[in-house]
Amino acid sequence: MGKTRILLVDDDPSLNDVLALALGDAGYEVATAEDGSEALERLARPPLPELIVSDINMPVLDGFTLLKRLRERGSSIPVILLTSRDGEIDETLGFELGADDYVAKPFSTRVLLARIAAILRRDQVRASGAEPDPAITCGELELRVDHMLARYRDVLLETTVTEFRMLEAFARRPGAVLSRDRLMELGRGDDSIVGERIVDTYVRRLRRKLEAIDPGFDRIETVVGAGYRWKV
Amino acid sequence: MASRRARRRIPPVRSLRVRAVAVVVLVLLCPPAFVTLSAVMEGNVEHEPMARLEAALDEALGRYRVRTEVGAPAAPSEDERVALDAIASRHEVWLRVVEQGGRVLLDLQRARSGDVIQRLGELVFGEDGAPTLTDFDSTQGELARRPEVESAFTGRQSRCRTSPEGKLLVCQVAAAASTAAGVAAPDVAIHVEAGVRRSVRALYDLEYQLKKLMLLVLPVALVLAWWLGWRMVRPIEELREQVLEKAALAAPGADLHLARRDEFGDLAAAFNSLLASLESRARANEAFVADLAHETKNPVAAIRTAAESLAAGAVDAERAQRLSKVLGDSSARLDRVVTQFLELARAEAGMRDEPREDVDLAALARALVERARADERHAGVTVTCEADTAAPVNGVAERLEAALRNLLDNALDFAGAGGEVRVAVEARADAVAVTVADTGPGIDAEALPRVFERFFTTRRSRRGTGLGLALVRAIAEAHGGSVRVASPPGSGAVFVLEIPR
Repeated sequence: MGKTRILLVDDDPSLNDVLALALGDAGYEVATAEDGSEALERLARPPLPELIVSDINMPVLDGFTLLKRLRERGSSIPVILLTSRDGEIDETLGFELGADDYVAKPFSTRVLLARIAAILRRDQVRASGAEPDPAITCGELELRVDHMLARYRDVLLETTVTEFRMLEAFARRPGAVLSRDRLMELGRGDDSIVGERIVDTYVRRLRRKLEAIDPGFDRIETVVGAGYRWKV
Repeated sequence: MASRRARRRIPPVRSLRVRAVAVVVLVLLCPPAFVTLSAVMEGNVEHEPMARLEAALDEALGRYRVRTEVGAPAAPSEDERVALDAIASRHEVWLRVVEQGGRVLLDLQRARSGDVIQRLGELVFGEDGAPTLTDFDSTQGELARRPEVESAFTGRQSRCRTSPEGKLLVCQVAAAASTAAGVAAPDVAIHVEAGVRRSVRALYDLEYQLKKLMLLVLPVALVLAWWLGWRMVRPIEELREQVLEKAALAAPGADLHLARRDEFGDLAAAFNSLLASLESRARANEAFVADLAHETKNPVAAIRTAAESLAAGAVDAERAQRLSKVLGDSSARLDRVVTQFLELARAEAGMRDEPREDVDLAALARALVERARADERHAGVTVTCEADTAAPVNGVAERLEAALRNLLDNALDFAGAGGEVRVAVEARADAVAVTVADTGPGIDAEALPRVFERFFTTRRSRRGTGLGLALVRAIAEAHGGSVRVASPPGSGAVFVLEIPR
């Protein structure tokens, strides 16, 4: 089996270059594109990459449009979005378009590599058709960690990697109060400087997804001044 | 803290409410005060004619000696008559020489009919209907039989009396004339008389009624004044409360509410427009800072990744070179972004502190075109320049140069090798127009309205910062001018920069 191919899309040649170097060091085969339209051209012919890391703000064709076109074509190649605006709009839009995760600039290479590895592993496990790993259950929540599958009341929950990791953090510690820092660490393996607001955004998104299944959902409780807790 | 300071108590003298009451009370007190004051002044006025009369009498006594003819006093001689006339005229008095119990020997009516103040009074208060001095005198009976004349032979007499309506004050003095040498009986007297009209006197008589009326009106006026003050001060206080509340807010909305259709309503509306404009400016600032943060994150991300790559382990020469290029490029980019941002910020603030001078845009365009032709990066581009006549404008030279350079660089980039760029400077009556056209691919109709936005760029690879055209627009607007763009299908882009002369 050859190296895993990653397509790197960013309009900053310096960043492209240095990231290509880092990903190459990690054993990936890296192709780069300078904007969305160039990326689409590349995706039109094999070999297709196993994963795309794309900037959002690019001339000609931005990251959101790239993602949208990709999903419209029925492609399910996982996409990690790089964003330099920590506004919620960026995130929300990105997720609803079907991004698998996002990493805020400037990021640590380690974090990016961890996210890439997690997504690839998830896809590998799912594709291998291996026996489902033992479930972690927490009330009506059921998680299959290797497959990164989450079910609530037996309904499948579409989550990004980070959201899944957060759910896992809650499910492994039912009733315990998790600070925002701790949640970020468990959810993203991320020690980079990120606003606590991002944690709130994640929690809000999780609540919304769970409320879609159970309108009366109130398991994720805000503990004022401390963080969040999965109510048992 | 700030609001507490602003809430300090107003001293009563400064309070509009107290002032309104004070003004009303003052206005009310005016008529009685005027009457009282004029009464005091008229008291002084009474002494004035008396002094005049005494002086005239003394002079007349000195100039006239009684002579007799056939047992009866003779009329004054021609010389004496002229002298007495002069005295009467000078003092403006009515001077008569009268025989005891008999004829009037000389009658000189030289009393003035009214002075300036008198006429002014008539203008203000209307005709006062006071009798003239002559009319009044004719009611006093025959001169020789009047008590003051009869007693004059025993000693000098002086008295003042008012007409029955109190509108005329008449004063008179009389004394026996001295006799010429060798004349027996001193039976001739000199009588001098003058009148002062007292038009204010009529009001003076109303003083009591005035005061009574004032007492009746005062409570009503006070209530009215208080109500007026309240009507005026209430909305101000209401507005102040709302404004102070806003001052404490991070994001005050433009929603001051004052349900009034008068000037105070207008004031609240004016405050609202101020708030709205401040708010939009704050929002623009916020967007500006967000843009800056966003734009610096790319190079910072590259630098961080390069640093981590260096820390990861052994670095061979080729890799070291790549990383050093990344670090160099990224820091240069950071520098460029920050510098251009500062320039843009200054231009957007209107460049108020920068000295303006006469700048010839035609000469500037020629120099820039010359430089572009010499630039080997654009060797394949043909640049033509139509800028022959001088086109001076008043502006900041280096900013205008930056604007032209950005337009030209932009055109050169998009024209590409084999392309053409045309620069034309046209001096019109009111403005100078600089046209920069290229034969590049042009701009999509969709992108056209956005080309002057910060960070909007259709260039790949981040060759520009995406700030160049935003800077052109900011510079044009700081000079009161504008910049437009057109891109007719299939014929490149045309930028027109207009700076008023």
